Amino acid sequence: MYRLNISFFLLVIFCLIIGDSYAQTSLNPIASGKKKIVLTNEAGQNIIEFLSSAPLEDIHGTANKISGEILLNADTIEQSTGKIVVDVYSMETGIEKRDRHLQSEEWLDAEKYPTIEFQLEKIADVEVLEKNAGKAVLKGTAVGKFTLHGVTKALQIPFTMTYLKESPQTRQRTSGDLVLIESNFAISLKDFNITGRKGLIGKRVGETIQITARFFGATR
Amino acid sequence: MNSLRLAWQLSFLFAIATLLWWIAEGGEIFTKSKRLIEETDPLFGTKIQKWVEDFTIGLLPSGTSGLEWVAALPLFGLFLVLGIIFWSLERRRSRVS
Repeated sequence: MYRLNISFFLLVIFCLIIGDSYAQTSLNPIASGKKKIVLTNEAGQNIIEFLSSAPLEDIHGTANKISGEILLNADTIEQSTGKIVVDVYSMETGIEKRDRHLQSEEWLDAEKYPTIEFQLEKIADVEVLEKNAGKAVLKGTAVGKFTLHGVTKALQIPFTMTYLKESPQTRQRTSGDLVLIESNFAISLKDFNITGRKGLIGKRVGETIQITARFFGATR
Repeated sequence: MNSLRLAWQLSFLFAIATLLWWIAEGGEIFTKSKRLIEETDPLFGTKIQKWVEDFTIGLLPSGTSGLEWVAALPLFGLFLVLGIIFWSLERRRSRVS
């Protein structure tokens, strides 16, 4: 009897571990199958906001030329993939002179590395926060490769996704189901070999940059 | 040389020095710039940032606002005013005498 109890207990633990490895979250019944989501400003203004905080100065900036596609697996969200590309030349900080410095060889070297990219490989820790007839909200962690200034690093980025099924309201913007992906994360300039002008990082430019991303897309 | 004369001459000298300092720092009076304002997306309810036209008082050649600029222009103003005050006082004294 004792051996039976132990065996049963071990079996339950085993099932929990295996079950967790194969966790599957779906968007059913709002969406099913594979959905190609194309980032488009018709759905909403795609934008990346960044904040550099340093003792002498806070610099707020944005980048608004963003393109990309996400292949959303609505049946198994974890298996979604995609790619997002940001045009470095679209980055601005409110002062033209500063924008040119940001794009110069000393900083992002836009001529050599004109884009910032994120290659989505899979999604982890998916949790559905809301799901009804026309809308789903979920959160998760995007696992993939982030490329900036010619350096590629594996990154896990937390995000929230709002999925709106096509309706008369969404059609005012564009056809298809609409998606908003929001994310907040930070990157270290040192990790991407961005050294800037001597003496500025740590005083006028933060060593870590806070990034807020908002991607709007529509199914095509 | 009386002290008032020395005072206004030194004041004007410092005023010129701080003005040259401000010019050397590449300071501008007004620079066209932009600032961010927040708007709400009506469909998703999320907040988005938008640029609107703005002006910034004085910038360094690097395109960043500078403490050096902030110090130079007000100091120039201060020394100029002091120079004028001391000069006026000296003129009044010489008329009386």
